[in-house]
Amino acid sequence: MRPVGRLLSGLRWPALLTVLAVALSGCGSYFTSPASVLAPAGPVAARQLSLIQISLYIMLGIFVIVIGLWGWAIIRYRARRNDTREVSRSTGDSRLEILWTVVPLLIVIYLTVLTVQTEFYLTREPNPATSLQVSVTGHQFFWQFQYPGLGISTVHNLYIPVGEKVNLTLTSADVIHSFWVPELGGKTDAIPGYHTYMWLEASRAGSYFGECAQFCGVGHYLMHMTVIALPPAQFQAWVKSMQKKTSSSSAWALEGTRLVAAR
Amino acid sequence: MAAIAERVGAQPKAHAQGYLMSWLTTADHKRIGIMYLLASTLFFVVGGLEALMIRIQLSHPGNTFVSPTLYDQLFTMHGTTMIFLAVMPLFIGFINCIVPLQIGARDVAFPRMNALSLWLFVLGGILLNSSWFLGGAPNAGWFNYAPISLTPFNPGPGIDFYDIGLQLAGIGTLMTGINFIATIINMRAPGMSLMRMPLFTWTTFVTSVLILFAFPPFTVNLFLLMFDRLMGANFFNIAKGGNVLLWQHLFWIFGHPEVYILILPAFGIISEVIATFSRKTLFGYDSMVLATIAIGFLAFTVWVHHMFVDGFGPYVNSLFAITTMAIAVPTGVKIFNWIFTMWGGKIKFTTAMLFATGFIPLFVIGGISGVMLAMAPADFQYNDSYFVVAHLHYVLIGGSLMGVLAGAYYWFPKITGRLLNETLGKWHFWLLMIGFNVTFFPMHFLGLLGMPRRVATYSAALGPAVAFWNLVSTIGAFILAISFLFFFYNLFKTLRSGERAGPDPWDGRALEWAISSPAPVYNFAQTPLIRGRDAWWVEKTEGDGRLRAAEAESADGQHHGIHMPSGSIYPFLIALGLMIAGYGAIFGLLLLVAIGLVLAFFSIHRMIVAEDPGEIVEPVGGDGE
Ligand SMILES: [Cu+2]
Ligand SMILES: [Cu+2]
Repeated sequence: MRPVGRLLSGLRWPALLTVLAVALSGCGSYFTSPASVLAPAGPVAARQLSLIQISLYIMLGIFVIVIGLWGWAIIRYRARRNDTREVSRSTGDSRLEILWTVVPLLIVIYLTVLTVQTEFYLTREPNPATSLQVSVTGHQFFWQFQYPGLGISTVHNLYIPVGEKVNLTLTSADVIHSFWVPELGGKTDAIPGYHTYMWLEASRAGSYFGECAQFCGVGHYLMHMTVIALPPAQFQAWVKSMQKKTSSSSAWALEGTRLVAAR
Repeated sequence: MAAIAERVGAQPKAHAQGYLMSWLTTADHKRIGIMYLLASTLFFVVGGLEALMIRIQLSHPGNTFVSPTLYDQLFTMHGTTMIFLAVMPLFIGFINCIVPLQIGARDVAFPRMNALSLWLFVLGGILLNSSWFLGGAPNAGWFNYAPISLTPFNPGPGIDFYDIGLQLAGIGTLMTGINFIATIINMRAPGMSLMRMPLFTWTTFVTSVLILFAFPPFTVNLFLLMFDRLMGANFFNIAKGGNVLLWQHLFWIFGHPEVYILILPAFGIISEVIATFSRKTLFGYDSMVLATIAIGFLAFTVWVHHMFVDGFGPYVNSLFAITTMAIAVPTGVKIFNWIFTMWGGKIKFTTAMLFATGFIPLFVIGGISGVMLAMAPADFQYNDSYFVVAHLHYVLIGGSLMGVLAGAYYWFPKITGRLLNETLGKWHFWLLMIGFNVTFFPMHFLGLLGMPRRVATYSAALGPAVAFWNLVSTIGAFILAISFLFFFYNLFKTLRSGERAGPDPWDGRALEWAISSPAPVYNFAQTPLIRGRDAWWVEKTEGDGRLRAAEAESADGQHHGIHMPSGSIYPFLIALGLMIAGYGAIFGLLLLVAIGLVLAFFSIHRMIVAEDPGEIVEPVGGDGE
């Protein structure tokens, strides 16, 4: 029974039991992570979360009504022993049918309005004069960031100033990737042959977990990044220190990362 | 299978070879349907085992149960198998077995083309799965985006297996669509007007139209990819002026209607089962038909919702968000109509009815997350995260598969003549409900906690919550798997020694319950006259409990033999030839391509020009006995 043995050993029981024990003992919340959509740290993620919440509450309301009717129907109208009820001969009711066409339609229209408003807010390009420009290039399997105005290039770590809009221009050097930093905002694909745009802003200093969300090959699961939001003064200091380094060193860094990722 | 064969009216020959040939050559829609169900169940098991391996791998962070290379093949084959080789052909199986009976027909419009559809599906599926042993399975996801599917990033033969395998199966599906459009338009018994058709027939009709329009763009896509990979073309190669988004557009113009191809037949089955076991006619029949047509139409207007993060800008995204949300309206109409079909009825909770009622809350959850996903700016967060994995499984398992299983318990007696065991069925249902929700509900959380899809493993740095919900999900997957052991044991046990079903074990409403179980080869000894919606119920309650013949048998009042299409080996040989040519193309063996194509075209020619005398079958007694 080797396959079964492999299957059981594949589960690594002690590790699993530890996870369960930790979870059940209540250490740590079940709904937090360093990459949580539910913990926005900037206006983009906050707008998206509020859209998620509004739609979720409306949908929960609908769920309660539908499941209430459903539950009532299956309890009230189940066949019982010695059930002498006459079965209803109804074949439809146009007033009811209009009701459950029109009400959902109105809800959908409301959600549409919210969607379109948010969509235009999020895709409105920030003023290039007041926002930091960054070119993002996806590679198998790492992220490269270039600051065209500043002559800086980094990999893995995207440094941004707190409280300033950052305008990202994305493309890919090979296959399609997707740039995702859940706490700062939703994703945008980096597509070879295209330039796509998004903007982000961090409201507070910190480092934010980012990852590639579009399947891009065998190293897809390793394609992480960190967004480091610094207070403006510190950001300026970082820019100065980077500009002192020679461009060759960043080329070496790039090559080194490629080797690490390939391992 | 011998037992089934006997009862579906085949005449098994004395020797095994003749018996095998009778299945290889059959043009009988019922036997073709049984082979569809059998083959897709086997593929379902394969896809399920792949899913279990995925869940074991993800049970805790940093697991090394499978390598990333193998993991990519597993999730690709899991999705591709479940969609193309399991759920869709399971529905096609039921459609084959049941729709001709529901409209009072003797067979489909093109019986031998139907056999060709079957063999293309079976051999295409085998070809696709043989990739595991011939250089590695496809590994670019079921959606197979360019450019990761192109030779520079994917030099192995896996993608070619995907391409050729799905071309074969896809041609088969396309012909099924054409066949059932023709069958439903042309072969309805007298009196079966469109607005008297059972809902399952209606949803089959709309599904067939969707197949007709959705599969050609996909086929074109597969051909373009084949040209790029095997012949050095550059449709998707940006270095030579190609465009990678061309694949995405063509794929989703097919892909979104495909999800309705996977759900509309389930809507039909749920409608039949709920009406039957509530002992009421379907509530709001007209609006049900209208909603089905509306969903079918809207299906073609929403494909960009799979591409919201491609950066098309606010106008495009808003437009497609609106069309997508609009689908919620006709879908909601259906949900309310089902609930009000039960309202005022006398509901009998057989296993089939449990699956049909259980479908409603699960599908509503899938619909709710669907509306949430349609809101483009929110989708920027959900897209390609486990939230989508949760949503799609609520729709595909909670919706489509629940429909398949309701149909399985409901029609098994009609197809085989035996009733599935109800106790085992209830075990199956309750374990499935628990296992399914435990597996997939936590995936909503995983997505919101930042876990992307298609990751071979995840870092412990994502925190204990992500590890916890993944473990819960894996435990659920095993409960789900165990529920299916009950089902398969039930199938096995019932085929051997199940209780015999009469013609009408559920006190059914549609025409299939008017004839013996299993149906005789010719279905109806005399073409029936349809006198209302719920055609068989009308005869039971307002008539004398027998079908009326559409016309007097003949002037002399004598029974005559029934002319049925004869079988043919050529559909199988056509599919075999194309399969051989496919292997030739994958491995660059031109001689093999030539041999395969010669066999295919020779067989096509023979099938067209060969005299088909048909067979005369003597009916045994009248209907309804
Ligand atoms: Cu990537
Ligand atoms: Cu879609």
